[in-house]
Amino acid sequence: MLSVAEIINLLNSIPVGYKSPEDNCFNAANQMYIPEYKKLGVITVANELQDNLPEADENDLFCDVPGCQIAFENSASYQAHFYNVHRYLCSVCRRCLPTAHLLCLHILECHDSYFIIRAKRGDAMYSCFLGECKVKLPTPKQRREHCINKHKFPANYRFEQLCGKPYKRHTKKPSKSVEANEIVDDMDVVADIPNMK
Amino acid sequence: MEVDPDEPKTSPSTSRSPTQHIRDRNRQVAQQHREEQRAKTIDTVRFGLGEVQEEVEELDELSEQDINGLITRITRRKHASAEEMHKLSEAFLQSMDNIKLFFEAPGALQVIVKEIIGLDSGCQVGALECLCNLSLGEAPVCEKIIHQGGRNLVQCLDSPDERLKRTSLWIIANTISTSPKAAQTVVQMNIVPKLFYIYLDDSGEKNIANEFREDAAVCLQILVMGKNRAARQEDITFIKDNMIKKCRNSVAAEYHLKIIFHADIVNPRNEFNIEQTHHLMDFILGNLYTTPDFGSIANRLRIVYAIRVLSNMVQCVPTTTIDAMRQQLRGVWETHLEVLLNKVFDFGEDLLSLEVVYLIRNLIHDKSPQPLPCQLDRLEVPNIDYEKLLPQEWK
Repeated sequence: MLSVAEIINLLNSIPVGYKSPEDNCFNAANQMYIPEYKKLGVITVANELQDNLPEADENDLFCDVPGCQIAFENSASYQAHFYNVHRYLCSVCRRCLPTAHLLCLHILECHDSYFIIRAKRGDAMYSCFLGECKVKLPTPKQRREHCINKHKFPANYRFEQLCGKPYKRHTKKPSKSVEANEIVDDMDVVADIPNMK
Repeated sequence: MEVDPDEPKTSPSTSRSPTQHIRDRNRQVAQQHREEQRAKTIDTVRFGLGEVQEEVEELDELSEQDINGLITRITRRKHASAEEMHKLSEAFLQSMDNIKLFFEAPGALQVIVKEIIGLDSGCQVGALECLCNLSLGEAPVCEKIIHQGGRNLVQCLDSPDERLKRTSLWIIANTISTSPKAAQTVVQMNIVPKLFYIYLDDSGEKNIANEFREDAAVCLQILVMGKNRAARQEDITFIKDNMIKKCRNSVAAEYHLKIIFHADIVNPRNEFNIEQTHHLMDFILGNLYTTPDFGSIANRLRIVYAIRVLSNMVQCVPTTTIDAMRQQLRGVWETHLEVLLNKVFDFGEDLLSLEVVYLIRNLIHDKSPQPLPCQLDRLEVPNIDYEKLLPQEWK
């Protein structure tokens, strides 16, 4: 054990002050006490277990949401289906959205007349598809570009479906008059359930 | 004659009563549920690249030809079955050559990425596990995974299915630890707030089989570490503003001070309000007071980072830190700082003792406010060769 004089001597050999996380004085302790992250893969026997399950029959699970009626082999598949397809359901048009944020955007953009008027007036009304991003943009096209450039969405991402708009496989080159009506067209309600998420 | 208790005593299903039918159905669902729960808890084992052959003897070794066959099949159909993905997944775990083979096949990765967004939960899990093992590859492989499937992985973090969430976190951790470019790409997808919310999630007890909060903490620490940290300034500010929501007794709390330290939240440019100062002090003193030994990794993280963060706090915000420390030592822990520091010296770890000496140096200097929270004559500083342990540039 060091005496007070020895402690003071020791302290005098050490510089005072803030030390950044990358300071060399932490290297030795990091190596000694804190293991570095090791990359790990995963191996599973889930498939074997699932293969052993009894065959599905007509009494097995089926989705009881009106108009769906898809049958499932196990409750995990049914759960995934329910969360993906029926959890966030628009009460107006019965459209299903993958997250609460996108359902909120869908209701605003498709069923809110105040939103439509303000969007037509050119106000920045279109919220980003990411719930955490608070940016609002004046047109869906600008929002699309924002998502691609800022949040690295793939360029071929099905943006139209994200907030409940139809996926158009073959889009015509828009004329000026069509562009003017773009916002109104986007408000069309589509009954089919998209495969999102 | 013995009767098999499991054998149904009723006539065939066509003549069963409705009550019997419901009972059978309930039994069937309960059995299925048990199978799934068992699968959830025991079926997932993690290995490093090439380690799997030593541990699992019955594993099928796939030849280059087999893998090429699988790749051709899935790219032609633009669909991969759960079984095919399972085979690929095992192949990736066995050698880097298999990973390279798949990486160089055009369109193969896209097929797997597409399966993540399918409706079949078995295929979703299979696709994610396949990507997890693929992410054992080198930087270009990881960058491609994030480029093509990063958005889907980030979306899986919102999934209520803990298995999907957890496997996505594993893939993200593997990729961001390999490639700084992949880390920057996921950061641009605003992943830091999402990870931090997962980390804060206080629902339920710690479950060894399903601990996604620890996985989120691992991802966060990778993103905030290093000179060229991937996390942006706005992410660091987000962590600083929300750090008080993490409770010291919650799951994976041992990573909290590590994340704060490496994110450089305690620095001379940052200011803390009273609540933040007390939160940090609660974590620091709580860790020092309650951690019984220096054996496990979790305990090491608690002790080492408590010392480091406190050392910087007494330099950066001396007055409020020392006031908060005094209040909590007296009112909450009913002890003295010297007692806590002596406990750390007692662990008998030379490098740890040296870090405590750094802390004491920051507490006791010419400009330090009086009276000092620490008295030298009460300290039991071990007599070791500190000269040898000090970094070269200080000698």
